[in-house]
Amino acid sequence: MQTTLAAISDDQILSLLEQPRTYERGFRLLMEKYQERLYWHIRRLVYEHEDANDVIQDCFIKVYRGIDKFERKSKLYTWLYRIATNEALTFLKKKQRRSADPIDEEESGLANSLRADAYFDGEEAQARLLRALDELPEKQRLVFNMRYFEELSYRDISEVLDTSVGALKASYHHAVKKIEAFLKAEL
Amino acid sequence: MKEKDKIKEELDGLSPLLSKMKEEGGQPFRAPEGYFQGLPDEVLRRARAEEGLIRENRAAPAGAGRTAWWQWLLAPRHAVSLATALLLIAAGAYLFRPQPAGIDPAEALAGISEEEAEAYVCENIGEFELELMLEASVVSADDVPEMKVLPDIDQKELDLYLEDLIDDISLDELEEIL
Repeated sequence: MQTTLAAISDDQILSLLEQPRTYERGFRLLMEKYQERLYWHIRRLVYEHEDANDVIQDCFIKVYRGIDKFERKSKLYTWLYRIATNEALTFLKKKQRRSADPIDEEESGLANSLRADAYFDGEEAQARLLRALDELPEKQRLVFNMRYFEELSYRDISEVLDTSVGALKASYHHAVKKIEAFLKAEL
Repeated sequence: MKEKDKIKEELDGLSPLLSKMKEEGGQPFRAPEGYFQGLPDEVLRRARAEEGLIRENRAAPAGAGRTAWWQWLLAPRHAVSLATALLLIAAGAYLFRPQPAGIDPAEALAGISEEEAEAYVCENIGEFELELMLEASVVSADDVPEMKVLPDIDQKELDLYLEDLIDDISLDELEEIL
């Protein structure tokens, strides 16, 4: 399945999306090709599966309605990443506003999320890494995720976040140093 | 050099600790089993449903311009305005309707003979007010006393008369009257 999907080029998907008759087929192929990458990208930002599921569905619905807005000036997947990132950040802001509980230092949102999430089974080291990531400013966290976990080039990250490559390199370096310091302090 | 190698080299230089963690650690999160198989169907189902709603919403205002005039009139707010306007027109027509010219009684009775009129009056005498008959000179004031059914008698005398009458009447006669 993955081999077949990987063999399908973005151009083929986009040409299917240009015709009403083949639109759904094209859209299904687009989802099948990119759903996992986008899901994990979103999941690392929102942590819980249920939230990630809501966000990725909203993201694909936006793509379904607005594929004609894709001008082919960037790669299809960086355009999809951009939508997914915006959706996830909007979701997090809404969630933050809704949360009225006082945040306890030891019972942070992330700690509760990981404890409640049936689909988190990381080791202690991974949980510590996530706690360190949670301390980062939003932009640094995004850059770190895309570089460290998703292994995107600075050029692609630049397309997604609309930021210069130089600024992204600086963000990533700062993020790595902060995480390292956090992890060493916890050891 | 591949991007993956570039990233590893960069991380090795920045933080050997994180580089080691990356090599050791896998994915801390996992998705429910079969989640990715069902996701495209779920999204498409939602997209179709939402598209249907959008189409319905779009169809309503677009079709409004082509609605038949009588359908437009039957819309509640138009129907109330229409009913009010019709009511005002009806009231105006009634109030300002052309009045028939006054009928001269003499002219109206011109075609009726005296015998016919007399016969009508005799037949419907009970319908006429005494004062009206006097006014119309159908009867003269001299005739009025004779028309009294009972003469002016005292109530006591009348009661005594009725008692005597009842005493004189037999039971058979009373049953017959009743």
